[in-house]
Amino acid sequence: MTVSTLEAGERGAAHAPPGARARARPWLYLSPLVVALLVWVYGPLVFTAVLSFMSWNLTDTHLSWLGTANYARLVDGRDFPRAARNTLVFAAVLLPFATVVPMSLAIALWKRPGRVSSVYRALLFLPVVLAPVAMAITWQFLLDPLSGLVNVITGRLGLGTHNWLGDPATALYAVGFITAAKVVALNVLLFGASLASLDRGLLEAAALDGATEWEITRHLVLPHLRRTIVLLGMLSLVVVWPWIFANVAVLTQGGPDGATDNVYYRLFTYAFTFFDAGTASAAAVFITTALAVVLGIGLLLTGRRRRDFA
Amino acid sequence: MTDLGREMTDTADPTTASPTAAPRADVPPQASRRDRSAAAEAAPDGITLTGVEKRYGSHPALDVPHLGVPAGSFTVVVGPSGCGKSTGLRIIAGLETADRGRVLLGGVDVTDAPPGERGVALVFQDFALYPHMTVERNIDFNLRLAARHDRRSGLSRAEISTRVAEVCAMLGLTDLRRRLPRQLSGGERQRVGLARAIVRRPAVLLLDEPLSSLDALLRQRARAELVRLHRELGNTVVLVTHDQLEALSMGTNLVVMNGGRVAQTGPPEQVYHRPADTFVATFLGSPPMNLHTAEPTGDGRVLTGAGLSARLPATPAARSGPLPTPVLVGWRPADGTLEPVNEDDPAAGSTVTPNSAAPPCPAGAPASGGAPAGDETGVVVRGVADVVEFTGDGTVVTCVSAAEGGGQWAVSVRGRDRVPAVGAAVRVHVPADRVHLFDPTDGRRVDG
Repeated sequence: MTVSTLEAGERGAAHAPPGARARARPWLYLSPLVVALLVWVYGPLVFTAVLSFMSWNLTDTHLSWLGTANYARLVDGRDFPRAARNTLVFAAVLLPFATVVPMSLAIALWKRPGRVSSVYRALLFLPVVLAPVAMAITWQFLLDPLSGLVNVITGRLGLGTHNWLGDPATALYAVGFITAAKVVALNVLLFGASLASLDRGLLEAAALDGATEWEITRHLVLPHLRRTIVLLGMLSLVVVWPWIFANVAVLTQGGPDGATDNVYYRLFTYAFTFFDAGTASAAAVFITTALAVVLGIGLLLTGRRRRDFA
Repeated sequence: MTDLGREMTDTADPTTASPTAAPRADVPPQASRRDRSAAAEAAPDGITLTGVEKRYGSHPALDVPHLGVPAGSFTVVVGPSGCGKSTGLRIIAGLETADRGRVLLGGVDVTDAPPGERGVALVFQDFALYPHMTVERNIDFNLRLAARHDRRSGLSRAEISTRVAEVCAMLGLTDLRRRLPRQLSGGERQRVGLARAIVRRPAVLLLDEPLSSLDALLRQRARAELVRLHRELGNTVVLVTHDQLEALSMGTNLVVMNGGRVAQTGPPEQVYHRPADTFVATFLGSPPMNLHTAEPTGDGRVLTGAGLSARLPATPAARSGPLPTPVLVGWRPADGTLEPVNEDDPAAGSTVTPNSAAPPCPAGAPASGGAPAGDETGVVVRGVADVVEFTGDGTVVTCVSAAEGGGQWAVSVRGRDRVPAVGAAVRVHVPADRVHLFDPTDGRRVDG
């Protein structure tokens, strides 16, 4: 099917008169994608940017110009700065689970290939395919302060019980670790894929050079994974928020006392609890800008050459 | 087979023995080529394998009751793919563990030692250079690690850079020191792989088909470079290859392997001129040795086969007992000389067997046979030229035997000698001292 279309296209191009029509032809083929992008991505992006300077309740036909008042409210208020701080804490909690932890697991699995390691790898990946809300509800049962399995076990062990999700001091970390399980699962797989491209002959060469297991990891495996570490660290910080969002929405709704609130949940609250499209849009612009900065730093990091051991 | 090690050690040339020659300070004691034989008499073999066996599942990959590689030799291990030569090399390096048996390097049992502690360096087939390290870092990786592991015995930073500079100069890598492997050509990578191996002056240098990924022109140069390098370093070098030309041209010692076993060991000339069995005979040499089935007749000095007749000189003392019946007659294509063919002279055939009571030969043999006239010894083969291949410095003529069931054979015509046309009758004479006899049942050589 594809082939015949292609051939038809080429034949058509061959007969087409030179000039404007020939130059327009690629755009014709690109148009479905360009239209889709304009309608679903760039259009809303621009619309959001415009909305962030206006006041709108999502249902009214009346929109009024506010200037930078939405931004001022975000910055001066109590909720958004707290949500921004929490977001950074979430990122800090999750970063090791996106990089160091799955990388160590992946290296351990890769160094001892075999049936057991394949089965273990498959089990590790399981959390990724589970429905986010179903998983969140399961954790709600597990962490229930009275009858949850976690508290039953800590109680039996004499460690006492704790309302992990109800205590402002622990709620963020509880949600963070629940999300981390999924991030680890996905990234073990991705680190494993990167390791598969490392030539095992290099390890034999290093063994003959007298390198210890740790030195092989340090001087051969880690340099090989360097780009993957930065990439996955960055990607995880971008893609992890829908998962955190689902967990927060199901388990804490941003509480207790705003302890698990973050910029994404805040945006959702502005837009669909308060129906304040202007403030929500300002928050969205803020988030997008911040992410662009993070990605830019990441690109600089991967582009820079690092000397091997000096 | 068990005394092969001693046999090989003894082949070291005693005329160059010089007991007073002090080993160079920077090479292992037994390494200098000049006092190689002196060292070889006193010191144990460079490498000894005893009773080494390795299986992959039910497939026996390697079975070596005993193999000794003389210290300071350039030993080439050759065999078809899957013959166990690479497995053997990896067992010596410590990258594989043998199921049974011991590995000794310079008399020290290293069977259970990790690869890095054996004093062995290996040049990999694909060179296995560390992709993110510069040429310099690749080369000094080992020395730096050693310096870290043991600050007292390890080299200082200055010593390391002197050594690296030496090796780079030796292999022409000085200008490439800051490059990454991916910025190098195949030949340059090969030299970096070599530099990385020799920079720590290993007692044993192993090379796993190091030339197979180079193109033909580079390979010729690299071959000469390796031989020269061995002369300079004087350590024990083991090179694994499937290329019989490399095997014959490079080594001072040859190990031919087949099916996980050692088929023959010895100096290349000896292995080439006196192959121990039909495998070695046909594996080494291009085109391979011709083999014909023949029946001894009369006193055993006269052999007849399809399109072949032979008269052997008086039974050599070395050969005990009669020849097996039938017997395999072998000769190398380059050892045969074309003789004029006289189609009208049937006498050529009748002189073959003075003893006409001999059992009837395969159809056509007496008529077309033609034998060494009178008392002249040797083999005469008759056939029809089928394929004529010009090879530059000669021509290879592949012939179909004149007689039914005689099969095919080839003869090399040197230089600008006259070459038979396709379809022409060909008669080839091989002198008796160039004829090899094998037992067809086990393929072993029978003429001593």
